[in-house]
Amino acid sequence: MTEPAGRILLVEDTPTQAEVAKAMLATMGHEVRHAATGAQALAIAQEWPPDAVLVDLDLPDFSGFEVMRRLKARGSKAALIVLTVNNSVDTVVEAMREGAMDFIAKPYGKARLKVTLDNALENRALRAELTAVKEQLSGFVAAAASPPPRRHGGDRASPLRYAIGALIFLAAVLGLFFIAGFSFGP
Amino acid sequence: MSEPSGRILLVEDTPTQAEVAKAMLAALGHEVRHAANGAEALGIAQDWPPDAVLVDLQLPDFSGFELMRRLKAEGSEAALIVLTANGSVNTAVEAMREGAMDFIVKPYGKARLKVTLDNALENRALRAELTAVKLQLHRGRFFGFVGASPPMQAVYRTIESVAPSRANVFITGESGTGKELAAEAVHKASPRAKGPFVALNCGAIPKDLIESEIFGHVKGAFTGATDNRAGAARQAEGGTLFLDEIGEMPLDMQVKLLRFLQTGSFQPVGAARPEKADVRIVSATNRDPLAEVEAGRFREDLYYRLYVVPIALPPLRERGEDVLLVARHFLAQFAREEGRKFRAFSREAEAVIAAYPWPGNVRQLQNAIRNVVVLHDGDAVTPEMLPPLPAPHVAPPAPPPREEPRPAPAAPPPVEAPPPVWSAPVWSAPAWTPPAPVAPPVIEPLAQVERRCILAALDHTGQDVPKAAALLGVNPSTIYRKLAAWRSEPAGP
Repeated sequence: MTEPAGRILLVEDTPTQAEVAKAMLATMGHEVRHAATGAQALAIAQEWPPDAVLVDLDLPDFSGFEVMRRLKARGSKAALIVLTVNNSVDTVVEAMREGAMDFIAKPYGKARLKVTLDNALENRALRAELTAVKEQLSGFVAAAASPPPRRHGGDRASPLRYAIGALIFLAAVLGLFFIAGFSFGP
Repeated sequence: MSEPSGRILLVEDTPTQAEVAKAMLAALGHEVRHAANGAEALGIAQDWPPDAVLVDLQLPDFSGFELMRRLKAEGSEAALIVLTANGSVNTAVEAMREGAMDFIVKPYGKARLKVTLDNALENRALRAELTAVKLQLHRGRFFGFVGASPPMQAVYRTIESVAPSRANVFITGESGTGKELAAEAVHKASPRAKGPFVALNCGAIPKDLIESEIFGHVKGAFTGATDNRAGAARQAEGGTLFLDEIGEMPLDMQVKLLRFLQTGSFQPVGAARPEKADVRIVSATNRDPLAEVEAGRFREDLYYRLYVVPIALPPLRERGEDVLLVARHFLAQFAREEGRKFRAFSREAEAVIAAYPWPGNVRQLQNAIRNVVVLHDGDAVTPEMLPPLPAPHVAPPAPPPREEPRPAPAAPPPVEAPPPVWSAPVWSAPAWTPPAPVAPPVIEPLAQVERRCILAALDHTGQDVPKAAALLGVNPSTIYRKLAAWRSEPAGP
């Protein structure tokens, strides 16, 4: 089983819980940054795009849902995992609606954190690989099936158009002769 | 968010818990089967392969871990989710080690079950899709084609993309690169696959018969028209018509073909009324189509009608490893057909095959391998068994006319039959050997070149004049004459 290590942004305002989580994440081999408020989280995510975000729903400034909304609005592709105190169906449903990939009920242990995080990172990796491979495939088609080269001179001409053009030209030349009063013969 | 639903096998021995779980799963839209012990679970999974299995670790007969092991051993691809009474690290770690995707701690609610199950099913779906898509990137076979090189992957992909539509396909490529094979692939990958596939070689049909060949004729339309005859267009009704060497089509016929492409209607020779046919057209040429248009030999409006989706078949020399793949494929096929022992090429033989540029492409390679198999037998093909290959400095015959003599087979060549008249080329060059380290070409008198070649051939055949003559493609008497002439010269190089 692969052990993907990633950048994890932990958004947790309770200091003790934050310390425990950070320690657990470090032993799993992940790079961790910690934010104690929503604003802090957004700032960090701005210049340190995380692979996954663990979001405590109860934050001092704005709700965990709001953090998720703003992250998504900024185009974040991080896997979002919600940390909740209650298992209520409504909370979870709303979390998923806001784009969370999974949720972890507090208090949680290392096993729970590890498995949930690993699955979320793997899901993200699979999606990225799928996108890349599909792009490669469509690249093949673009290369092999390009539109037919056109002749110099662009537009399709038809023999009829050439004929008409020639007639007009001829008429113009004859017309010039008449105007100039030129006449054949003596 | 998609709501995947699937077949869920619930393995739970506590009845109350099982009922609750079944109800939740049903409410989530899944198809559920329930087993109360490991043996029952295995029995169900055998003829009802589930998408996911919820495994209670405490089972009466054997542990949940054992069940997982056995499921995997039987090749189950279901996502395994463990139901455990404790969330201990050890249990979870072992569960993951046995191949579980996730674990749920009892007691659990609907939300937990839903999210975990959805994620597991999605993971499984993503993996399956990734495998399928990756397979498309590295196909070694595609309908009749053999080859996995990037240019061929592009060809496969293009054929797949264009096959479903009605758009006309135009295939270009040197002789022997598989244009008819490509046309067949387009047909077989299309919705018209069950319909007829008619291939016509416009270059092989006498110009005055071409209209009748394509559009048919009625009885008495001309001398020899003893009956009504359906042309290729009619025969291909509902299917695909492949017009090979379309550059050979005379201009007056091009006009009629254009009309057919524009309206679907045509008139058999001598018929009073036009007919219609629903046909998808694939065309091909060895030549440069645009050059033919510029030279006035091909109508521009017809060109644009035909050249909607181009498929360019790469020459064999640009297909990298494919040369060996194709050679091995033919060796296996012909050895089987001719009852030979051949199983592989020797390393030296493979080096020769890989280094030769194959100006006649796959058809030339095919003939060479068939030659080897017919004339020899053994475990491995050695370089000596390979037929002499024409010197590669002859430019491959792109424009203008084809390099073969005009054979005119009566019917369009069927796909599997031996290719038409790849006659032994006139060998006026020395038998080809792998190129030595490159030195800049030295221009010397032809007589000297000739002498070197003849002496080299004699060396190669152990001074056997008839064999050397055969290799060089000349009469043995020619060599005797030269030898006599040289002997009577003052000492030379």
